[in-house]
Amino acid sequence: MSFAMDYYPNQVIRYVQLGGKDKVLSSRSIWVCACCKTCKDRCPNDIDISAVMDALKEIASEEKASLGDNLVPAFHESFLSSVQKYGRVYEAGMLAGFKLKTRTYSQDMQLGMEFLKKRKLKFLPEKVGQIREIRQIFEKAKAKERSR
Amino acid sequence: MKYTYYPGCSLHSTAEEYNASSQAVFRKIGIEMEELKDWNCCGATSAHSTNDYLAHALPLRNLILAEKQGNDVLVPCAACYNLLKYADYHMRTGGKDSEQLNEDMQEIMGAKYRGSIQVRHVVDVFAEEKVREKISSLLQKPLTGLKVVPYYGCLLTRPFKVVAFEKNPEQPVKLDQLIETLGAECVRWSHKTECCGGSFSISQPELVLKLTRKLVEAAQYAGAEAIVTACPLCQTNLDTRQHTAGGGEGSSIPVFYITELIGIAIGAEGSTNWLKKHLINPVPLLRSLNLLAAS
Repeated sequence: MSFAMDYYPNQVIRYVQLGGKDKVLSSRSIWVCACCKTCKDRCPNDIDISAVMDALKEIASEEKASLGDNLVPAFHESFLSSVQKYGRVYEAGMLAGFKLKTRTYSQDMQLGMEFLKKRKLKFLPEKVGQIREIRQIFEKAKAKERSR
Repeated sequence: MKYTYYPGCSLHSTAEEYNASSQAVFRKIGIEMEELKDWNCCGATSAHSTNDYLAHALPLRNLILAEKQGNDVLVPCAACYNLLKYADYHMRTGGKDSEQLNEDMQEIMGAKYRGSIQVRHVVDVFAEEKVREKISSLLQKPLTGLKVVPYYGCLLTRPFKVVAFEKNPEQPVKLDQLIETLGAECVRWSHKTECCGGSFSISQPELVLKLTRKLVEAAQYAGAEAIVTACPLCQTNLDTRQHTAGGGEGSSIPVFYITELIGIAIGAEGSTNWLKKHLINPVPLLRSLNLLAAS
């Protein structure tokens, strides 16, 4: 995925070492890292680059007003709000939420029609019985974020 | 042997055919499965990208439920497998953080994770010698003449310390062996463990288009007529992004779940229904090789 990155993974790590916090936190690289973990497994210095990328995404979401990419964070937000609400991902609702948030209605419209034709999307969400447990997990996760 | 089956969200929606074919195949082989009761989403890429706590706690709830149910967990989705395995690894090696997390789960669910179960991926189970022998003995329609590439992608093989079930995760072979067991021709190729872009299909479709195009070209260059996967994200990305509706162009090749091919070869029930869900229709290829009865 490095073709879509403004800094290559090794450059991101170097900026972290040198204290280039602003550069990495506002980069596109951290968001278009696909988490394939190839770099982690092949790094000769055994650096867990994908874990660093995840940590940077987490810090950037908390600290930055403007991010190096808006679409990927909007997707994660839509995805997790679906999980928080139902305990499982309700794909149709999650997609609608993402499209509304990012105003990318026309993109993949035709594909959406194909999915509906093939009944690959369900119209109704599935919900976890003990949804209270899921909500509490999310509350604890938020509290951890705040306590940092 | 009985397993607790964790389908995950994709298998209840966009990847329904992976769910149906997995269940049909295990039934036919005689491996008993019981769905995990009240399972929740593993959190997928979105949780581990944005919140470390969620990334461990969401899958951990499933592990605790599975431990109550009693058997090892069997997972068809490569992403769910990866995250459940990660949570299990974290609980075994995570020190104070994992102890605190277990305390939290005690408070939330009234139970802790003891680490008494294993998380297994379906490919790993199919590749067990006994299971492969059983599949061999059940072959009704060997997939003679079908040339396919085995596509493992990322999440089944990496990070190898945590999730790999292969001796050499850079050169995995278990899917290859299965394909050969079915009588199909397993074609060597260069992109076995490259990335398809995963969940970016929705947020960054043009990037996924680039990656999937490379994969399809590599498969065709190697002489394959189809791709075999064991991951709903890989299958969906490769299938949809070849279709014109997904921005694809030119020639296209079908993308199968390994369970679909096993199902066809051993005559498990429902195969025509699974194939109807594909955007790139695999029926003409299978018919041309006499692997599907004409309807």
